Amino acid sequence: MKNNFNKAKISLLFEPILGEIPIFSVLSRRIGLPKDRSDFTNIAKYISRIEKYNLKFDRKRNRREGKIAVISITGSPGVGKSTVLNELIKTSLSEDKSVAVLMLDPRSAISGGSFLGDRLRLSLDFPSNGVFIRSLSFSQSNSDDLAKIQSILNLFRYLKFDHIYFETIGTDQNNLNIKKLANIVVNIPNNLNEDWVQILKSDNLDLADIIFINKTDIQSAESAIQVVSIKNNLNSGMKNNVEIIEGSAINKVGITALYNKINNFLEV
Amino acid sequence: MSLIETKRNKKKILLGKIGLDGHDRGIKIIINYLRVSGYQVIYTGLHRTSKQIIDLAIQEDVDAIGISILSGSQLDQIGNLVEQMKANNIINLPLFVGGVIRSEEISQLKELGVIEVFGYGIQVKEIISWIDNVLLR
Repeated sequence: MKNNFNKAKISLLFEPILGEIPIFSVLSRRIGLPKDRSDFTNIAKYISRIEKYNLKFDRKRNRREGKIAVISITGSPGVGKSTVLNELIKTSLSEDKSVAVLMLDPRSAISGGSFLGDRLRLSLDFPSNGVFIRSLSFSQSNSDDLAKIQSILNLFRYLKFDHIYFETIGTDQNNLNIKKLANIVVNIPNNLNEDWVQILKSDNLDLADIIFINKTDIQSAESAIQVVSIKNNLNSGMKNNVEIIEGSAINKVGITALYNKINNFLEV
Repeated sequence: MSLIETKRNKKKILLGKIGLDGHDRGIKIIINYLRVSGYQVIYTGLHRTSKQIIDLAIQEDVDAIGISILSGSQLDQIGNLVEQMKANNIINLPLFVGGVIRSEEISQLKELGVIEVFGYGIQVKEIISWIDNVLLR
């Protein structure tokens, strides 16, 4: 423990002062690098350094590492991204996979403060060494933030987590960047909004690989499926049709289908 | 419009509620004030165990922990929490407690390792300026 503390102290010196100089920045990236994925304390400290000092992490152990998929969950605010994620994590854990999760929450443009509230939706009953969950405040007007996300996801890949989930903030803009970060994009459209104009306007469906229509217990998924199918038809010829799965995350309906579909994508 | 960056933006504060205690109006006020003044705030949600709170604190690498207690079980719960903090080597994190706490219990809590106790009638501004003093000095 004492050793770690010293390392952290050295790194504090490195990032702000010496981090700009290439040779020192390479050195500083190595200091405190967690050795394996069960070392949660050091992973957390390393991510903090990425967050605070824009440390860039792009180290790879080997080529196969690039195949570890990042599964991104997108959708408007309140559609149930976190609840779906909670169920997906449970399913991954039940198959003895190690899981890392990065959750984004919006940062206030006025004060720069943020309320990282996504964790509230997650069950805290996960085994404490099975799943690593981290929240990050995100502002679209800050270009550094995307690089930070990329570095954190790279770190998760480097540590060889089996499943890496990535929950975006509820937004319709800047999705292209999110697409670049993730291998599989699961989109959850808002099926309580019957306005087809909004659904056709949004970029989300174009970028999604899988569409999960949530909350079928409150409102039938029919109208949403109709609109998505129309969009699929409009898009046909431009890209492959997206898969549509309906369910209700809070009642654990449709989650297995979604999980299997994601795994099919992973295997291809 | 450029994003304002302050020292507070880099600090993460964990706010939590332990045990059988559903009164979360006070902690919601603190969450909002901290967010508006520029801190990153993480809230655990209701009915957490001390183990869950400490796991979360480690994974998020927070800079301070604040616990709100209105159930009257502060001595037991904070005692457990401090034990967990010791076991996980994060005892140097500043720990503060708020809620309905009898005046004679304040010194007992401080003996356990709590740095500051905020009772009823406290102004939110005082809490923010205390946090500023501890985290940004």
